Amino acid sequence: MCVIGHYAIENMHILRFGKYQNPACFYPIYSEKFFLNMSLLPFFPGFLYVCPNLPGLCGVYWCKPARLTPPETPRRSYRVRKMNNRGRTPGSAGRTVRPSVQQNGLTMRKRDMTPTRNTNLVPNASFIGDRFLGVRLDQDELDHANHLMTSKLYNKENLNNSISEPNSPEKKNVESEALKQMMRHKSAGALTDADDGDRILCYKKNLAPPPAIGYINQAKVLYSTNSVINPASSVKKSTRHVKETASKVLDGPGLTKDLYSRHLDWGCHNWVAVALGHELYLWNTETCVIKNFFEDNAPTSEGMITSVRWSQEGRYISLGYASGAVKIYDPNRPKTTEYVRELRTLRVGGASRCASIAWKKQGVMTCGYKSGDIVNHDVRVAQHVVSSWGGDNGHSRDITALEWSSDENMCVSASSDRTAKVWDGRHTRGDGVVQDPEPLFTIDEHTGQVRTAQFCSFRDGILATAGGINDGTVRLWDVKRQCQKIRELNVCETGGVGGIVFNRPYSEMLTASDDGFLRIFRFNANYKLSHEIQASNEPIMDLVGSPYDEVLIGDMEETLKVFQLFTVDKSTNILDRTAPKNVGLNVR
Amino acid sequence: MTDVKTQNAITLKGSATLVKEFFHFGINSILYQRALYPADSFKREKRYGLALFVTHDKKLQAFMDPFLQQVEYWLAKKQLKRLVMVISEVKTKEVVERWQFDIHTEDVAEDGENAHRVKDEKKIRQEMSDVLRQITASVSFLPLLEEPCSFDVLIYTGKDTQAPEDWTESGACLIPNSETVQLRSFSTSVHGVNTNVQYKADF
Repeated sequence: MCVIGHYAIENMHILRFGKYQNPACFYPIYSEKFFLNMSLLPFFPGFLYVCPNLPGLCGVYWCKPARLTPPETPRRSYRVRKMNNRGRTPGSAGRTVRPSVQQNGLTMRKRDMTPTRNTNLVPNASFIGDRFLGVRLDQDELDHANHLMTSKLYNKENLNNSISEPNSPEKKNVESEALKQMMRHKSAGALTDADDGDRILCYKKNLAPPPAIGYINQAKVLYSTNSVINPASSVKKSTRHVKETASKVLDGPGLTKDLYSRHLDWGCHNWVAVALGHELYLWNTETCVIKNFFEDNAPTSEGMITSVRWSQEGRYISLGYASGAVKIYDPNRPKTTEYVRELRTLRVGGASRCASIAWKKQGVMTCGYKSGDIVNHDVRVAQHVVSSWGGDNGHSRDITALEWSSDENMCVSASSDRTAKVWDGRHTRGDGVVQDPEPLFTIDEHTGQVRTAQFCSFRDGILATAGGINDGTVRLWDVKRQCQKIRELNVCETGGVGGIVFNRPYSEMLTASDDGFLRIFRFNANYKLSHEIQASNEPIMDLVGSPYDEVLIGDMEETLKVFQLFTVDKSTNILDRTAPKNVGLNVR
Repeated sequence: MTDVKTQNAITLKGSATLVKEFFHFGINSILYQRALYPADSFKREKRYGLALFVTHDKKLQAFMDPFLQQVEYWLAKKQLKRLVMVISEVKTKEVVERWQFDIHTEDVAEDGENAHRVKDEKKIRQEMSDVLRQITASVSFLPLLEEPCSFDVLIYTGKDTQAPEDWTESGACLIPNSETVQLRSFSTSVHGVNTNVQYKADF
């Protein structure tokens, strides 16, 4: 056995079988810090060695100190001696003991050892001189392993499997194959299990269709220790199953490739509004009916649609345009003449590009403009501007997102000026027009544009803000505690985060980012990433959640995909399923 | 009385169809359980009171169908002695697993007086489902297939059997130093099928 140096294989015990994929060397377990490679052999007696990848020899070896230590543990020999003492006269004991010990190959006697050491204290310990070497396994196991090692299973042929061996296994196989070929006529039984005279036929040999390229045995990912596949990255340990494929995929030709527009909105009645350039489509996700809202007669005078938003109860839809105008439509209204579904157009002097709209319940619509101004419109009255949040206290660049908290006490605005602001809901309406109040909080920790912001739907007062390009983080704030930062989550390394959706049944946060991934974070103590789903190869521009369990994304490939990420298992009654409230919107 | 008799009567042809169906589900189960092909290329089918996975990959179906047809033909002609599914590594061609189905055919005439045996079909299916269940359970002891693997199907037949073009003479593809696990067997009372799996010992 050339690899094992001058210690023959008989001196090596197999302690454990297993596969070790690490470098082609033996190394002692006792001191893992330094590796013994092949050239540094021979082995030190009493050490454990790991044989990683010699075929047929994988395992952990214990180098049995053949000459230096007794084959049995001292404890046993002590017992033997005690037994030997029995039945002899006390005086003769000393003389009879020594020869029997020497017979066993003992080189140490009791009096050579450190006087304080009691051999009975530590079972299964071996001693070299006065050194103590702990052996963790029972002698019986070692003996069994040795038997396995030296029995016929490990005959010469099997052991000669090392790389350096001139008779490599392949060669041997070729030889034996040739031998078999020669012997074919004489003894068919040696190489085939077919009866005499029978034929073995193979169907389309080697022509079975190969599996898909790149397919990896899932079991291998789970159980293999091979370093090529990193189990940690390929399979995330998670508590629930998430369907990683899109349940519906829609084509969205003309979806503007603008990260700062809001192209989609999912109404509470499961009608999804999709803005494609000048056009608006309404898609019912339950019946899959698609309506072209303007019926090829879309208004083009205001420019592209830059934001779409259903009112909270889903009766009206508001569209923000590049010109700064905001139009409100009623899809329920029968269409008799041109643009009759349009209820009104709201314009603000000097405003351009309304890219974010948020509705309050009482007919108040908050719009953010390119200038950084936020204007609250009361859509029911002629003098619709009730307040404007801007000026020195406001944002200096365009508003990217606006959201009201569920109790409507606060409104968050995200802006390209790298800040997000939280506004007091009481400043919406006053005696006159409320001008430029001071925001409650200003969040200025983001290193890039703040692309979106969202209040947590299941935990009161938690606000999430997401950074754009050069940031890629989601930061969580507690607005109830002076907007204290709770956590900073690095979501996307290579781009920004385009959307956040909160999922109440599972207490999770879903993010969509520029690398095309949807990521789910658990909202427990450590906000751990639980799932990663590659939803697209291109940046995801929009992410909206349905009232129930689905999310819709719009990406730069002009496709819309629906993912069922939050499906609640009906069999487990822990999570309660709340059906979406249907207001019975009937688009004519 | 005659009704009962005809219901439970198994002819050679009917038995061949039953055994072919078993091979269809058996081979698909092995492909799925041993993860030779991605799990999402299989779809669930309820059979023998079990949920079994059958491939819906077009290429694989096109590979399997003619071969199962031929197997059924040989079964009906009493010429099939053994069917072996060989799983080998794609790169090294080393055989790592060998699923062997020994077929014992009773002396039944193709037609005439001695043309059928009596056995309840329900019982036959029960026996088949036991074997399929064992195939599913075998994942627990079979070594993990670390490398990409492919499969071949061998049949053992008599000397005078005529074979279509697709079939070529082959060796037995035995595994040296293999472990063998005997699975259950079933019998249609015309064909008895005895299953075992051989695999490369892990060390």
